Amino acid sequence: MSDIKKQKIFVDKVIDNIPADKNEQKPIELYKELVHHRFFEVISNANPIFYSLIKKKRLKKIITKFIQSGAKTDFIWKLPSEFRTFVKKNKELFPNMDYIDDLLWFEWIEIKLFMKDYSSFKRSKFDSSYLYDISKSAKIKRLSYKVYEQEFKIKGEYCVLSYFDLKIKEVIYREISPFMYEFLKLISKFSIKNAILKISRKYKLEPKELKEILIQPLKELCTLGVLVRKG
Amino acid sequence: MARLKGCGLGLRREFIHEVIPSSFKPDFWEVTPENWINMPYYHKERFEQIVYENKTIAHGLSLSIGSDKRPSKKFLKTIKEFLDRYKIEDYSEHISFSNFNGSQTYELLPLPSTMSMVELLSNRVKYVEDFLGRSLILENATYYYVPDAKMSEVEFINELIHKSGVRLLLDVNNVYVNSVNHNYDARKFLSDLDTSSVAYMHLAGHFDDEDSGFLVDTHGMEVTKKVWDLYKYTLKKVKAPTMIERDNNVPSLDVMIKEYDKLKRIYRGA
Repeated sequence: MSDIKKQKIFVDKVIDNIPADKNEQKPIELYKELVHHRFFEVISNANPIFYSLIKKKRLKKIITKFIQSGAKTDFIWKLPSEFRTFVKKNKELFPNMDYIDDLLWFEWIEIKLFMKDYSSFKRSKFDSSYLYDISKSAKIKRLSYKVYEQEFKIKGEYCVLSYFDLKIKEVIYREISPFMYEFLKLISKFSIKNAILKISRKYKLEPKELKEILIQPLKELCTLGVLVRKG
Repeated sequence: MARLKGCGLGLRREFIHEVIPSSFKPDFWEVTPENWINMPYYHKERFEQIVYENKTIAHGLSLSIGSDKRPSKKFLKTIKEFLDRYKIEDYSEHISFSNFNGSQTYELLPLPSTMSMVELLSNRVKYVEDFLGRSLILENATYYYVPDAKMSEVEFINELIHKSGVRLLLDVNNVYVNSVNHNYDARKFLSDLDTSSVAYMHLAGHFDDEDSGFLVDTHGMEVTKKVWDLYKYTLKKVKAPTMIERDNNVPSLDVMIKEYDKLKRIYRGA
């Protein structure tokens, strides 16, 4: 038998694809535990809310299936992102958890924003004549559940802004209105002026009044580094 | 680039902000590229200051040199960029595999100890060295099982050294752990080992897992007395630079410095 074949059989035993022979059960069991522990540690630490909602025994079974599905990344901190993909493809494992995609996004985005390099990050002062975009330190997302408040029953339209606060070195989230969400999406495509015109037309508002209302929040988002000048 | 000498310590995020205020300067630091290629940005400044001002070597985790497929160019490129950026010449990895058919286990798995595996590893060593533009150092890993043992562990390592010319990272804790788990004489292992190729040595703590009946290489506690004794014996055979690894339950820098000082006393006295 070739080395590769022997390795494949060994790995299949470790990830529970095939049973171990009687005389090798102890070491194979140890390898199973070691591999499982690595995955479990990363997933449970990266997804504390998810972990609080699911029994340890159930999570262990899910992780066994996740391991069998094949994690690809060389960098273990990215494993929660692959776990999200696994969950999306295996919804039958999560009955009565319609909020799971929203929750895993919310928990993953914290890690993703936390791990980015902001060494050369520069905040911009707000000036409505410039073009702006959502910075690399922030993400906005429209969710169906208020997972950030651990509310998983009432389905609706909830928008959230997550950003890395450079002063306190933590990822912060805040709920934003669907209107603000839409506006922030628009300003990454259009100038402030045009974005205001577009959204005021849609909601039948006065552009001048709308501008006055939006100036202060936009200034604040620039101060927080959520919005940065383009170019 | 200065030759590696003396005693070192593994640089860990848990105490990185304590290093510069403490003025502690080991002879060298060892870093794990996979843990520093991406890092929270506020660690970066400290990390770079430490690495640029001190002799630093790298000890990887994800090369998986014994896999069914050779390490990907993408992965090697990322490692090379890291080593080049921080001017790190010495890069070590493990005689093991951790991924198979493109799927990760994140655990060091044992290789069949066969001549064909020696052949495969030798080709891979050359491939990796050519790609990285620096010589590779490989560590004797712990194992709790061997998929196919056509030769003993020491014969396998010696064959690999002779065939590939690779330098050895001799992990003394691993020798001890393997000798207990597989019931062989650690000193005999060291006598039989070709120590002429030892580039440097590792010391670490292990865990006595009563459930499995194995000593487990956890790197989660201080070095045990029996490993210190074996290290003293090893130093009589080969006085190579040595460092302490601690990857789990990482204590404060003060605690690590105490263990480092112990290492230094033993190393100097040898």
